[in-house]
Amino acid sequence: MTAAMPMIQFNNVTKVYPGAPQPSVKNLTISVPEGETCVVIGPSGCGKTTTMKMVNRLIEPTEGEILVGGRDIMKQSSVDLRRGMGYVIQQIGLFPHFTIRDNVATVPNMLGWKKERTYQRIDELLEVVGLDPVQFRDRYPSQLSGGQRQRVGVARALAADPPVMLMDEPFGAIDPITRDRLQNEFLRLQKRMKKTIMFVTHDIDEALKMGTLVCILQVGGVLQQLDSPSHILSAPANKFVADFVGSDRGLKKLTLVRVSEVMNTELVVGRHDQSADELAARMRQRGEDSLFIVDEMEHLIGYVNLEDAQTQPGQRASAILQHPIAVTEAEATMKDAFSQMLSNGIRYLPVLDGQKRLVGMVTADDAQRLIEKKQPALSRSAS
Amino acid sequence: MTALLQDLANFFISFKDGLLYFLPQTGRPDRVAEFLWGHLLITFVTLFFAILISVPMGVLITRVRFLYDPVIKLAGMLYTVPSLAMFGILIPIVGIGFTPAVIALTLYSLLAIIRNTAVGIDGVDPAIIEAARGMGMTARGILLQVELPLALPVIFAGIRIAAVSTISLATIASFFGSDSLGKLIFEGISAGGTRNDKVMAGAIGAALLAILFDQVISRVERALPGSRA
Ligand SMILES: Nc1ncnc2c1ncn2[C@@H]1O[C@H](COP(=O)(O)OP(=O)(O)O)[C@@H](O)[C@H]1O
Ligand SMILES: [Mg+2]
Repeated sequence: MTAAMPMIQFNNVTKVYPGAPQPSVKNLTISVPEGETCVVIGPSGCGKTTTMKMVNRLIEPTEGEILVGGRDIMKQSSVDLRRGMGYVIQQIGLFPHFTIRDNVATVPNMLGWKKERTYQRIDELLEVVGLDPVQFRDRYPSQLSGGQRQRVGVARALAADPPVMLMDEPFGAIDPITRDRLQNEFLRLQKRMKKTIMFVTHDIDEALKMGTLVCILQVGGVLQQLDSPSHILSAPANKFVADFVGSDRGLKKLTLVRVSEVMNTELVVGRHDQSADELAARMRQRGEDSLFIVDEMEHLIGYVNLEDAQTQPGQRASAILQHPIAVTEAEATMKDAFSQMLSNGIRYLPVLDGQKRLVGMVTADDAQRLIEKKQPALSRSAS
Repeated sequence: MTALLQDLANFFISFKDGLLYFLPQTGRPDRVAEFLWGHLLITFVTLFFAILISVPMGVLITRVRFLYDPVIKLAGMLYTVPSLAMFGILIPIVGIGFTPAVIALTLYSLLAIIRNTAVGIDGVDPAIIEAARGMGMTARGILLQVELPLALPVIFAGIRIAAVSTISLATIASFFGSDSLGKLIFEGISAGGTRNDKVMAGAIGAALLAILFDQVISRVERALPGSRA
């Protein structure tokens, strides 16, 4: 296999369901290089799910061929093919009669892994998706929240470390705040895993955020544009794409910029054990009217106002601090951050990393500057 | 009014006599035990065959859809045949005693178990099946590890219905020569009112047995892992 060979390749693929007058996917040719995340998006019923399910043969193409890792999927056993791909769906589909551990072990068990290896892998994976293994592995799915269940869904799909992941609206049924967090976590994960991912969504913001490639379909499964997120925005191939992407192009540009790209990392912070006197002096010296407070692990625990620090000089920081109103993460888009600031009526947001350490701050002014800028930041098309 | 009171008094007297029939000094516990054993044997053998036929049949009709309606209709028709008529048809073929009882009661049990098996399997969340298929589980794996375990509470509900109706119909089967608690009832009746204690003893025994089965199976139902969903 040469390095240039795409991991997933569709060649003139058409799907006509039995009895249907029109094809649901028509003459589709797309290629997804290794390590890329191709987000398939389009209006409801345009054939996104059909396209994705043809990759693991849950649906078989009527015409054309699909290659995965260079091999024709129709020339291998569908069961083996599927065991080599992660599969995540919106409804999650955990087995309600299995513990979390047995759910995640599904594919390793089918592949005949040794028990110790499987158990070790499960604990590692639960850790990776942000669930404490000791606390969660013996629970049943009904004892978990929606967000936790989808974390298990992702862990289950990753269990045997497949090179390809298929994800059909994986965060579609999850509340917006949890969805943002899961998206950010998944982006952090993907940075390390470098899987080849086909990701279906109907949410353009999610597509621009999660995709390195965006594949826009029109009803009937007709390809409109397959391009990087920034090109989709800056050079829509036709009116359909331009309309689909939406008219608030200025705001959309925020979706292309990560918080990590614009955040101020030179923060002045106070520590939880400092006195109000010290903090007030620090703020006056720097011309600030509030200060983030962290503990000895660099975890953000709140902020202190200059006024509070001056009126209660004898107190420690921990006694006069206010809890953070909202936070964002380095992987979030500036659109996520800006809409959070708007909905909370604040002008700045602290930025946390995966371990909840304070790593920077973004402001509404940062967002405004990006919106007003003529050229969208193009950094992501190159990455 | 006095007639009603008289009837009530007679009922309680025979109820007490029925209970006394279970005790060694005043009755024949050995015969109760013998008939109870016969009753249990009919019930267990019937349920064994009924489950053996109905669960695979229930699975089959969820796989081969065009069989669904005919199979359920046929089992429904069997269920509606009056029990005396059923024995009337069977006895010329297989004679009297244990065999026609088991055959008749098995036929009556088919409907509840076939239908509940099919309903239970159809009731499994399609997303769960899709996830299983998408992960590369085989059709056999999906049936054995996912569909049947998740359908089990519903299947057990069907078995419970079949068990209770088998226990009650097994009393009638005594009329055609099989040993069950019904035999006590028929002996009592043919004594022309002099042995109401036997009638009562048989009735109490059969009723308790039905309640016991109902309770035990519904406990099992609730403890099954599939009832977690
Ligand atoms: N199993 C099926 N049988 C017949 N038609 C189907 C089936 N699945 C999907 N379709 C049709 O194919 C089209 C595309 O469906 P789908 O791929 O699910 O769209 P999307 O995921 O983009 O909403 C729709 O018109 C839908 O009605
Ligand atoms: Mg869909």
